[in-house]
Amino acid sequence: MNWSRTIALVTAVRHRVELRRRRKHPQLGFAVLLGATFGTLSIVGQLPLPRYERLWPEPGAYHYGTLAATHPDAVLALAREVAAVAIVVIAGLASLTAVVSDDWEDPPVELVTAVPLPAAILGVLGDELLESAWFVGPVAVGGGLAFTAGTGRLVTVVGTAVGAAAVVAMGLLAGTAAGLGFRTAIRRSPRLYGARYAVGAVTLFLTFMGLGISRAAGAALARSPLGWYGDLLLATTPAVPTASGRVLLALAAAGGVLATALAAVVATARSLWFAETVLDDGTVDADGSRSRFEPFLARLVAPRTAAVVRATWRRIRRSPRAMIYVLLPFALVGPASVELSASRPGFVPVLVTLYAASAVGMGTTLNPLGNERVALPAILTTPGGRTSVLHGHAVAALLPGAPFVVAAAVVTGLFGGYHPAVLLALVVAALALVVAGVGVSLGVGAFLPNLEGPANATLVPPELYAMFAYLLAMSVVASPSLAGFGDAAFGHSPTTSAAVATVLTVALAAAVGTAGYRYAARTLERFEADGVEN
Amino acid sequence: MTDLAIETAGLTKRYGDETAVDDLSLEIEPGVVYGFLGPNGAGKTTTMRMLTTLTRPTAGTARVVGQSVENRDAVTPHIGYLPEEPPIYDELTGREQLEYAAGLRDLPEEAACERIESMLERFDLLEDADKRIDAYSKGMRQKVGVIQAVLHDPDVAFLDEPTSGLDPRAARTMRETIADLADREMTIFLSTHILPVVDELADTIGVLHEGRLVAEGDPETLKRRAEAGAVADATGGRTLEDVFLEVTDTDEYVDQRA
Repeated sequence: MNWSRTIALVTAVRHRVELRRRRKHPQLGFAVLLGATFGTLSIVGQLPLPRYERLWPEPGAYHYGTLAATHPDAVLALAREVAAVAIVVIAGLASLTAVVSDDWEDPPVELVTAVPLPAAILGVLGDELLESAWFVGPVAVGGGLAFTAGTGRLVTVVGTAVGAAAVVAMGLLAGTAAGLGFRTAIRRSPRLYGARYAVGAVTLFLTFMGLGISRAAGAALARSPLGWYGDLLLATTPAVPTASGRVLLALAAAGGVLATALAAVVATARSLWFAETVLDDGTVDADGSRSRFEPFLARLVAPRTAAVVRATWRRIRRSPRAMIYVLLPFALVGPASVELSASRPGFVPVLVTLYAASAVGMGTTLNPLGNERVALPAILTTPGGRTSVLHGHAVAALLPGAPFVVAAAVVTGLFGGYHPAVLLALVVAALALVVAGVGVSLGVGAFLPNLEGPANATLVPPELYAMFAYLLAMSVVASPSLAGFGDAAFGHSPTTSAAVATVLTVALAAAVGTAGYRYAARTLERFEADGVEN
Repeated sequence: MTDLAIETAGLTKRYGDETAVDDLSLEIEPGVVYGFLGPNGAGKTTTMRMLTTLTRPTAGTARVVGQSVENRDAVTPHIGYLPEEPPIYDELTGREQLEYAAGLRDLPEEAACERIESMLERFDLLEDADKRIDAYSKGMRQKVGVIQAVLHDPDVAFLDEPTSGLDPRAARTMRETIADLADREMTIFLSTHILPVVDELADTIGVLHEGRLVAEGDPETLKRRAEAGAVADATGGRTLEDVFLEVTDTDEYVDQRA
């Protein structure tokens, strides 16, 4: 048997299926394109093009390429840091993907009964890597080409191409192996295995926080063997004093790491697919299935909505991975707030409030269609089912979420020394943001649904790009608050600024939140049982 | 007009150039078990989706208990639907799923609990009622799906392959349940490939082929007509399977509606 051909065939077929799925939902393809474009523009940075510098003034690979001849030591130091951090970040994301991916849950029967197991595993791995490459690839290629263009020497491209390939391959494979290893290790404990999404997300969150907050972390990584890949990236860049020993070591280490990672992936995937270690017969403790909020439900909402809320909470408790993105806003913007707390503490309460309000909409409301997919025929053939489901998901998020957001606003506002009137305004704005956030979340989730899951009837995390779109929308909705409360912290008339900010936030939140909810309701109404919309 | 449980006239569904259901006209009385047969891809599921308001017809009209299927809010209080894949959540237990369905239908809590208990007992699910559905077998999921579809005593129940995945004992329970429901004046629109089930239960059979209704009548009439139109088999009689194969012959079919 030709192993490489078999692996390539498995990879190609699985990936074709994935691409066809994305073609069925063109908005997903557009979101990938948008994400890859943004990532590429960020790494390429400013370019000497008319008007472009005003559009994108941040320096990037091109800028540092132009400095390579005049400031070679500084550019080399930066390359070492960027390479090391990139490996850690790519590995972190790859490990999280491996921890949560459904591809590693059950063996694909059509493969394991047809080809040798290692070939099946490597074929599945190839598909996973290709999926990641749709985002990482353009960023790496764009960065390498921009740097080469900046140096003005074509020979530079050899080093950047080899270096970028090594960084991406190492990050993806080592991360996948680490994620699968972690998953295998906790497989014996059903409780821990069920919580792997939360554990993975928290670990990633802490890693990114550490990298974002501390410049020292990046510098320390650059001094580690991971920094060798900076030398590899610039190995053929004229005038840059790279250490040839480090370049050779980087290449040798990459070979060793890739071989070890592949072996580890095969071993751990085999164990995950075939080891019957999860002893869970599905029995549920009757008392444990009740929530502390349930006594309030009957008084707060209609019985139909209460039924959906109750079911949603139970489902979340038993499929916690659906909430995996709740922590991510903090991971993405947490470091900035920590820095701000030192330089501009007045901004912190409104930032924390915005993060908390956004987090409330990052759960099941961000994938209303995907979380109901197999149940849609039952919901749509139930009187008022559509409304009940949307209301139910919203209330299930708001009931625990809104008090948390208000508490966050009050506590941070008090610590931030807000005037009582400003604090009251912040609480009102927080309530508007959290309620509107759920409406926005429903709308974005209906537009960018994740309709794939391990089985048709489980909760699934929202589409990654839905999360980014939602965060973008929320930052727009919260912009009056950011500006107004920021001004209140430093301006002469804080009460007026806070009042204006609150009024504008409430108005904007009401408009956007309502629009989001209405869009979700229309989409659910139009949704046809065969997945085709009218 | 409103006396009929289901009435369609010229019902048609097209997806682009492809016609899934073509000019379908049905008249089904209340309390009838209507066996809906047809080969794979004949348009059975599409028909059920139109009748349950899940897909809009391209042309023609359809009424369920006198309500137009264009008006979802008017139709849904009267129907229950079991699609091919039971619409249930893996994370819930069987009992929680049924309580959820009862809540969504706004059924009185006490009565719903009693009904759920009795249906769970009937389908031999009581022992597993507090286990999560993701630990259920295919047959157990199917049972939960069927109970959910008829929990609220709908006027019309649309059941797509209700005996799929059931062991012989469970399949018999399912047949008995369907017969009981029909005795209580519930109209059952039953789509299945298992011909003996239809033979045993159906008052009327409709055979769909390439989107068109090619035969309709009670089982005995259909068998007699087939007998008259063809040479009897070795046993001297014709089975429903013979009828099915004859009227769904892809080369040529003859309209044999009663």
